Amino acid sequence: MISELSASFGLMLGLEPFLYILIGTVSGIVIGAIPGLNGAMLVALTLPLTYGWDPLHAIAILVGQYVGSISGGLVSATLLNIPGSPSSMMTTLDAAPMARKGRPLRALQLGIIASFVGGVVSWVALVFLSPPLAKIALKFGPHEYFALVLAALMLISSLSEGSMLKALISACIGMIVALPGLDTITAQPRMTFGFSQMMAGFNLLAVLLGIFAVTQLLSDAGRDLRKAERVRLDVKESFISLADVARQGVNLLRSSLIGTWIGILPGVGGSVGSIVSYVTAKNMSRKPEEFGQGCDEGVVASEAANNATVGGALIPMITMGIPGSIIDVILIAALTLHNIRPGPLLFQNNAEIVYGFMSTMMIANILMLVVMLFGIRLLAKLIDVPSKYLVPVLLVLCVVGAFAVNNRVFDVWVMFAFGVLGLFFRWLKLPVAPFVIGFILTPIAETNFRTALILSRNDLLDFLTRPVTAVLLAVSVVVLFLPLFRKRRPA
Amino acid sequence: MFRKPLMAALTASLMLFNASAVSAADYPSKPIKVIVPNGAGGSTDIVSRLVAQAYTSELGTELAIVNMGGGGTSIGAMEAAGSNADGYTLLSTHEAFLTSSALGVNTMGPSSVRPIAQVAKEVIVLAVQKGSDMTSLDDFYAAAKKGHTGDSLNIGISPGAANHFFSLSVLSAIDHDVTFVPTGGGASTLKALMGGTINAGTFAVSESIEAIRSGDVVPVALFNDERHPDLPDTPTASESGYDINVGLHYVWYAPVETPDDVVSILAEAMTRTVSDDAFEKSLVERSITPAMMTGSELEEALGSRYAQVEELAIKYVVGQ
Repeated sequence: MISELSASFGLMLGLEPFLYILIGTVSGIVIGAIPGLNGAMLVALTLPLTYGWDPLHAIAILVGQYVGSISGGLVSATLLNIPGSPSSMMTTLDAAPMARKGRPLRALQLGIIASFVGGVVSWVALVFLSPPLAKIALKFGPHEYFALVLAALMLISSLSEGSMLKALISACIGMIVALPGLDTITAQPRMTFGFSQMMAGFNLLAVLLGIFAVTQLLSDAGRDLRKAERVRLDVKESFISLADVARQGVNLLRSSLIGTWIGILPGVGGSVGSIVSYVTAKNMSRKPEEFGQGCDEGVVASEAANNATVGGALIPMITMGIPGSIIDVILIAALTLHNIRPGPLLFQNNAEIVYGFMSTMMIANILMLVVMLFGIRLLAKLIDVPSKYLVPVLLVLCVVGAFAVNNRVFDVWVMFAFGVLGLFFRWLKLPVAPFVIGFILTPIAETNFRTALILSRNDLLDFLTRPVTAVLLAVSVVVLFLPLFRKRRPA
Repeated sequence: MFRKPLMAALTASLMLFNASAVSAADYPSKPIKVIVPNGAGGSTDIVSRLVAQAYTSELGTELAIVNMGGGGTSIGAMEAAGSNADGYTLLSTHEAFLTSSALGVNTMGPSSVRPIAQVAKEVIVLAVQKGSDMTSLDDFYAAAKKGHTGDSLNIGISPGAANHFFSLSVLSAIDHDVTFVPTGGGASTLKALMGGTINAGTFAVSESIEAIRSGDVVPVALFNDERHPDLPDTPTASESGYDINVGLHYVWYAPVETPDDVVSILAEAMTRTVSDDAFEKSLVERSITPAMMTGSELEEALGSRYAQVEELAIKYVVGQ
């Protein structure tokens, strides 16, 4: 493993892959820093460009964007008191007050260093947990896979922000949208309403572009963020001292581990990771009253955790083909475009891809640290780009991207339809993550369930007599009914 | 105010009309679009691109491969069939086009296109797990027959796709009782066979040769008129007394109304392409068998293949 990993580092540090990682990381940081634009949108927009590329180059730019966009949100969180991306929501609580008190550079530097540490800790988990997990997953048959996917769907619904009922509704809509197309067992068209174009179902990328990019652009079109009060970065401030960072050692490690663990859970990414870690840091602090007033701990907890979710989320994606976060869904789409199937066999069939993910993530982390520490003043200027320039350009890119997947205009209409659906989601306050995860996991669940039944000769009892399957199904049931019991206890 | 753009649009559409009515004398005078009704990176896509590369120099024009996957090849195939019949939109596909038509998924069917040329074929092999009791086609049939002892055989297929029909053709020799497991296309079915989820499957030699050489799966029989150069020790079905001959044939089509002279220009250029030694070698290296065929011979062959697929579809799939 170590030799493959170092070989992969050698490969990805070559001129071309390195440039892709650099472009990816920088573009991720910039888009992450601009309020309203987020990483999922950027990755979905870039994906169609990578169509004809070497898969490793595609990974280089997309993973770079993933790492960069999670980190970039820090800038506007600090200077504008607006999270640049959802995952830096908790960062605003302490970074913005710190900036107001005249220490904006300190807040940014602390956040950048915490982001880096979070990335490194979760990278270690990715490297050492993935191979054994893949070996376990390799033994999974259709029964186990179905139970695993079901448990994943339940977990994402219970963990996403807001009420579980809304999350379940969102997941169900995603599952329904996944149904049209050719039936996986009889190969007959279903729910196509007589349209032959519907026989391929809804294209994953068209749906993702619609619900992430188009929705965002449509609701951004009328907004003007320049009115937001903005902290200038022209104060003279010295570089943060090593002692200040060292004082955060325990907090850094704890927040990174929390972030990694939250990342591993399917479908929940940076935002939940930083909330959990922030609350934990506050509860364990000796001075909890300082949280929200601009304390170091708060910035560190949020930023270390949201970056740690990146490596954590890649673990189930690489080993089992189950997305750990929304951006992972898009990464899966990218791999499928290159005819690579994420899952336990990835280690055997496309080891270079697995190690490519690992080395890229580390390189992107280091690049993020360097670019952000030294380019911070430049980045601070970028968050002022008015949306009237961005929206039209990005909308055109969306159309081109949706068309390029299958060379069909139908997919472009699908994208716009889902863009409008996304607006309804916002209006009804339905979370998007369960929808996307439900959409991508339903075909996997269905095929495995029906295959399992065929293999068991239609005996449903087989699901309960297999130990792994039974445990996973039990987890799903517990997760589903847990909120009922939680409510009885006074909070 | 609107007159100017209107006139421009009229002129442009007239020019378009002229372009499509152009005679075959100067064909091809612009790039040709080739629809591959599968995603990029799969075996159909790779072979189509391989052919297109060599075909370009013979035709003297660029070929643009357009991947249009989904619906078991029907979306791309119907898009091609509905295009202008001017020779500038072609379709490159194989047996999946026939199976999706027989199942009624492709509602336009084989009569919506006319064949230009058959380029090559994939020889089909029946393979079983390493260490399986089934070492010959007779063993396989004994285990698959109605009234067999023990549990029925699990056979991996992609429902409605070519490998489903190959398995059905192989089993049509007997009165069978097996369980079809939807393991998917060649690569995933191969993995299911190695992992022990299924007992047997039919594969193209090119997609299974690695696993066969490494000993992970064992070839039982070939369904071809002769043995395969890469599998000299695997007997054909006819050697065991069963007359089963199936294969995955790469065929290029044009919309049905395409003029004869355009089709013959295309067919002649394809004949020159495939007969080129370097090109032939590139196919053989990939364990693919060159199998050039054009004209009425090809139309007859496709007719009988489609009749066979239709019969199997009615007997075993649609009837169920």
